[in-house]
Amino acid sequence: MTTAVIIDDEAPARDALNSMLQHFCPNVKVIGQAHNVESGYNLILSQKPEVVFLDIQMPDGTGFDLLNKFSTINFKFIIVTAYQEFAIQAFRFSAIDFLLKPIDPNELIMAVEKLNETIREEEINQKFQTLIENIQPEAKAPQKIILKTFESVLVVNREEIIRCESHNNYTMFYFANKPKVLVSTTLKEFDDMLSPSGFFRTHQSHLVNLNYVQNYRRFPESVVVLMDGTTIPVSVRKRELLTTLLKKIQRKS
Amino acid sequence: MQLNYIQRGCFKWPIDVSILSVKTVSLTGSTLLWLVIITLGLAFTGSLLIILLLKRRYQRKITELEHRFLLVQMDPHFVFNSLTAIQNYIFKNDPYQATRYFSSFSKLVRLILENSQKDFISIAHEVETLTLYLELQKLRFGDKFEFTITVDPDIDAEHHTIPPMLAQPFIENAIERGSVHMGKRGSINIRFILRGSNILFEVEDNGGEYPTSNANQQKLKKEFEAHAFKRSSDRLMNLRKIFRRKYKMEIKDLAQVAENGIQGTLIIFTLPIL
Repeated sequence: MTTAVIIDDEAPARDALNSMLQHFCPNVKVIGQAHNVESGYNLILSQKPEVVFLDIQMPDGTGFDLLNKFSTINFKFIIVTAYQEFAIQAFRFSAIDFLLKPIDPNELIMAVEKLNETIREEEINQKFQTLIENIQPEAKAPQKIILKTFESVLVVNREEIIRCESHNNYTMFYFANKPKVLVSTTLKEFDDMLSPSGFFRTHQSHLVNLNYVQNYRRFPESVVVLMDGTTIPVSVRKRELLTTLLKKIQRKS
Repeated sequence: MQLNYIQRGCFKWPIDVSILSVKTVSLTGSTLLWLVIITLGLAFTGSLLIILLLKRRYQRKITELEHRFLLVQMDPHFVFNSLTAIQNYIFKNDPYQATRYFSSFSKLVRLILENSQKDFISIAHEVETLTLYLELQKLRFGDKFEFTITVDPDIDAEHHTIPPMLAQPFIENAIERGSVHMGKRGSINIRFILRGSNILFEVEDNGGEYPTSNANQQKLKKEFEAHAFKRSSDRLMNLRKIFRRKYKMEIKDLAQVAENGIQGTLIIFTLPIL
């Protein structure tokens, strides 16, 4: 049995989530509800729940303000939000679990199943710290990304990543300033995350940071040559798009 | 003169050149130069005029498109939170309420889509849209706020028309991050008043400054206000451009106007009757 609290300023949203948890996730027990940052903070202190379902926009502050009140976060949390375009990218980068309203039962079930994984307190705090840094209004796109390896959680700068290579359900990351690491997430997920900010999927199993591309060679084989001399294959269908992207970058610099 | 087929041989065409030759004689030296300059000048001004005309026409087209774009924006917070409230009725096993709100929501979406196709709608139509919107908002916020909509008896609600949903950004703001959270019961009063050849469209709320020390939140609120103001003033500017009438918007902070501790904001749109 997992104990949980729901913090959201709108009663129907709290009720809906509560009913859905009863219905689809009977092993989660909701032990309290709160309607703003202040009462939510007190509720967590008094009830000590294992997991907090947290809305972002509340009358007296945001869900992030609430989390910031704790010097260390010793509970798991799932963000529940109606619409936070700017934040969603940051959630993905920071590996924060979130649900969009109205909540999809399948996504709720998946998020609750993930709660069973044992997570160290340190890791939760690391993720939240990364989120806070990523969400700063000055940062146009999230800068830091959370990577989970077998033994630890890494926070890396986006610019340090030279390329990613798919190994079945894992992804190998190559960095400019540190040894490579194997991460337990598929390349597709990183493709979705990183492609809007200067990365390119040249091939089914390769994602490349375009800033590290030295040139694009078409003969004898179609490959991009990286600054360190590595060559990465470019699949037939990606050639045209890559050419236009590289031209754009050249024009800018 | 037409030649359908040409026969082999020699042809002679007598042409009277006396007129031509007279002209050629006078077109010498500086006169010719002047003629060329004048012709070129005329051609230049002509094409310039055409370009200007085209440019203006496109500018107007752009203004109109902008206008529609500004209109059709629905606050995503409102959309998704309303759907969440409906979802709640479904889980509460209350199919009647769920269906009621579900159809209200559909009606509102339909009205907003319809409105976005039009430059002007009847006041009755606007009142219907506002009522649906505010009732759906009450579903989310319960009894935290109340609203009234009054139409001056001198107004013929079916025939007097106004640009659709002008006050939407302000009403949205008042509810989403204004009066309803003030602890006291929020209220929104909407009035349509006939004054001379204008319709005054007033929106008054009793929301005040947030008693919060949270600088971030305060900043966010300011940003939303600025955004609402920009959305409405952009639309008014476009309306002035397209219809060449004096559309106006005034915002009054009631705390500054009244002495007796009244708080809130009053927005007045002055809309000329077409």
